Amino acid sequence: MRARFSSVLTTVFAAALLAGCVSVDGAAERARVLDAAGERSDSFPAADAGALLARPLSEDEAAAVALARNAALRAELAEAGLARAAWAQASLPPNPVLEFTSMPPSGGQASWELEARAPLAALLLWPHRQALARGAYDAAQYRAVAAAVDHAAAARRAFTAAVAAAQRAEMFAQVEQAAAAAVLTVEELRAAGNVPALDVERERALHHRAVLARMQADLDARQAHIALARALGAVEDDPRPAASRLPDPEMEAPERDAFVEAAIRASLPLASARAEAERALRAAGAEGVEALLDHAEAGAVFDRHHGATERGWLVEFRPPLFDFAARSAAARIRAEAAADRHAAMAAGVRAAALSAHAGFAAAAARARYVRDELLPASERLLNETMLQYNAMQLGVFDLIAAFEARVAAGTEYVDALEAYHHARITLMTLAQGGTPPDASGAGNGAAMAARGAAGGH
Amino acid sequence: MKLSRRNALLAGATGLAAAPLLAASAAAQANPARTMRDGESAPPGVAGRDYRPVITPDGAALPYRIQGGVKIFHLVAEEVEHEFAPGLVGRCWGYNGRVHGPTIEAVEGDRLRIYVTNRLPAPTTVHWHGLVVPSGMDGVGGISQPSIRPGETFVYEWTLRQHGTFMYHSHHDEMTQMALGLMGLFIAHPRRPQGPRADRDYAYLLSEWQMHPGASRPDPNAMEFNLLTFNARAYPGTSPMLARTGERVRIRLANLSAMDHHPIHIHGHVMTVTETDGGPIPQSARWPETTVLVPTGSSRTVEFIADNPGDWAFHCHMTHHVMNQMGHGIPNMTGVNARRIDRAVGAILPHYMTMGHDGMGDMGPHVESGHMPVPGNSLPMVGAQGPHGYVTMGGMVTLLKVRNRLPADGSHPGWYDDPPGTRARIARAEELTRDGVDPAAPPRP
Ligand SMILES: [Cu+2]
Repeated sequence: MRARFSSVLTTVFAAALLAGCVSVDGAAERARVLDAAGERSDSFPAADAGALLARPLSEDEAAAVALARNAALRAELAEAGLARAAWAQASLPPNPVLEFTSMPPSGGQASWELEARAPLAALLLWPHRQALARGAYDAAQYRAVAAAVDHAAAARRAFTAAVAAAQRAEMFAQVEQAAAAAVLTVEELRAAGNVPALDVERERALHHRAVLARMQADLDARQAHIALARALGAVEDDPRPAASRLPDPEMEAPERDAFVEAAIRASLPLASARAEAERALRAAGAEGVEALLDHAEAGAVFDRHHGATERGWLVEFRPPLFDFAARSAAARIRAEAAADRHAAMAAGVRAAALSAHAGFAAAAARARYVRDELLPASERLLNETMLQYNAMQLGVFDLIAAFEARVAAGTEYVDALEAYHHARITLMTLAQGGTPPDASGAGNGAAMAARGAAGGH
Repeated sequence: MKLSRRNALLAGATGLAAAPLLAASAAAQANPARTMRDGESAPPGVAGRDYRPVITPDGAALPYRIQGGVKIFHLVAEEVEHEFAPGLVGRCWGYNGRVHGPTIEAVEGDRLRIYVTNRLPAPTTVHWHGLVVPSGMDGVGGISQPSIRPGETFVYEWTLRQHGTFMYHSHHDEMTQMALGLMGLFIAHPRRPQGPRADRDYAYLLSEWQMHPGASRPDPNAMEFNLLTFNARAYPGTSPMLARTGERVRIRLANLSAMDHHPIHIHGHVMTVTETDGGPIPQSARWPETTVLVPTGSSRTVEFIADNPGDWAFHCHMTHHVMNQMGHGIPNMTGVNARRIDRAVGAILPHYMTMGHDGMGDMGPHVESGHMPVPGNSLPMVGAQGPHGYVTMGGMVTLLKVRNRLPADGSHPGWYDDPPGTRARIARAEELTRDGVDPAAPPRP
């Protein structure tokens, strides 16, 4: 009997040693996730984010800084670490229960009792629970990688928005300058006695409106800058975009069907949902055994009484006489729900990919149209207005109006470019497996997967 | 009385409308523009023998042939590329490749047969303005005849029973077709000229156009005009009139402008108005002028002796009619502080320059020198370089060059060389002192 007991202990410790291969280190886990995200998105955390922030940034550098610095992302990545810890835990043998009872000495001899019990379910279902924990970890890791990819994309969007807002503010300042020039001109006309006061007031009213529009544009630019800093985990004045203008719409749209298939293959929220579904299915398969053995324990009893030691076996069992069916049904329902969530996510990712592709193609076409047609047309319009001004067919105010129209066309280009770059980032993010931007149909990927996880064990 | 006059007009008709010849001597007096008696006929008038042809500066005379005692003319209405002045070409409507149409010349008593071919994209007619013709020959679309459709050729025929300065023009969709140039001069010489013969007989048709700078077709819908022309040419595109000292010069001025009358002013001479389109003015009723108002739809003939050698401006006295392609409705910049405006507007538009703050006199030279680019095919405010600086006039302007001697080949003499002491100059200090003129003195009430 002793020998058998020892062999049990030996097995337990050997298993514990093997299980020790699942290491748990938060920093290493974060690095693993960021590496995986980096391979997908080409955005790796900046080695020296501080140095990058000290000089003007490119969009890629903004993404790198965001991955390195952002506390919100670290908090999200911690979830993967916790899931890994849970997996590591599940890889270890169940802790035994030791119960020691000491009784008043009788006859000058110490009297005690030692019970060593092990939960039977944990022992018998040890590989099963290990597999479940591994599944949960996989799902969590997918979510974490998705969070990193999304985070890099959010930094890119914030970068684009900040550059665009700064450009718009610049243009509204130009319009204000033009309106001010018109006011000065009409005031000079008034001083020369050439126009009634009405004309002066008309130009002043236009100028006031231009000032208000510029003030709003300044505020928008400031807010966009603050948002960029926040996305980068930087203090507000640090991030300085290197370019004062958004790049031209250079990227060609990928072939649609290939892109959609690639996005589905790469989708991290979808992979997470798949892992959750598989886990739920596995859990449901073992639910019967779980129910039977849930509170079953077995162990040995050592009894020291009157100087004599006695050994015995101990088994505790609570038969699921009443709730066995309900538990099994609940597990099946959970498995079906997880499978449905996976299917919905697959449809949602496909729809999002199609939508992103269409959105990108349209945004690119619009930006190129503004660049190739509207901008040159407004330039020509201004030139022709200048010629007609020289010919004294038009006055200085017509000239200023044509200038303002050209600035308006420039603003339109900034709007179109901003939309283009946002569409480009959305497209890239989906190709990298990131979360679909509007997952309202399929449910927000990460949140949905998290709900799935919470519903399981 | 009226009836008999009508019959008299028809008296010479041989082809289209023969009518009984009625003796009605009183009718002859009813129209002062007649030198022939009723019923009198004459062979077709011939240049040299029966009349001295007019000079249509920058124009041409319509050729004719004589067929069975009838003068045959052929007008072809068509689209014409027309140069108003160097640098300004318009897609106009004219006759026989010209804008305006060639001058028709005939002699009182001539039997005329005028064919009109329509090569325009629209129907048209020709009205013989001021000429007394049978009603059906009057050329008013819808009233006297159906309009001539594209591709059709109509024939007009009547006997010329008057003399004077007349016009012909489209009388269908008048607003459009006249604005595009469908008009010409019709000179009827008297069978028996009275009074002194003119040594030089110039004929002008006055008209007005809207040519948007940079556009290449006159705008027929416009009611404001930016291009005012003598024989469809705008100064500096007008050829000068020439005269030798002592010559009798006749100038016929006919006006078919859409909306304007033109007071035509001569420099250095006094003219006598001798005729209107109604006929010669009796000697006793003639009056001297330096400016003759030519109402639209009218003609005025003036005569004078070119007795003052020099280069003399001859122009409409409406100042907006001596400005090429001036724009309107722009801010009045006169007297503004251009430097401040240049700074403010130049900050957003580097090529900006305030204009008009000291008037428009510099505009023409700026444009002509090319350093101030303007729309293609335009002559805004352009005048011409003169012997003593820039001529700031354009449009309805020409020159009368009077010389003691003129080049034998008929070419234009150069600029007038003023005899010593006969040209305005800067006053000398001793002159100012002598005459008690102090330019720096405050103005006296
Ligand atoms: Cu005039």
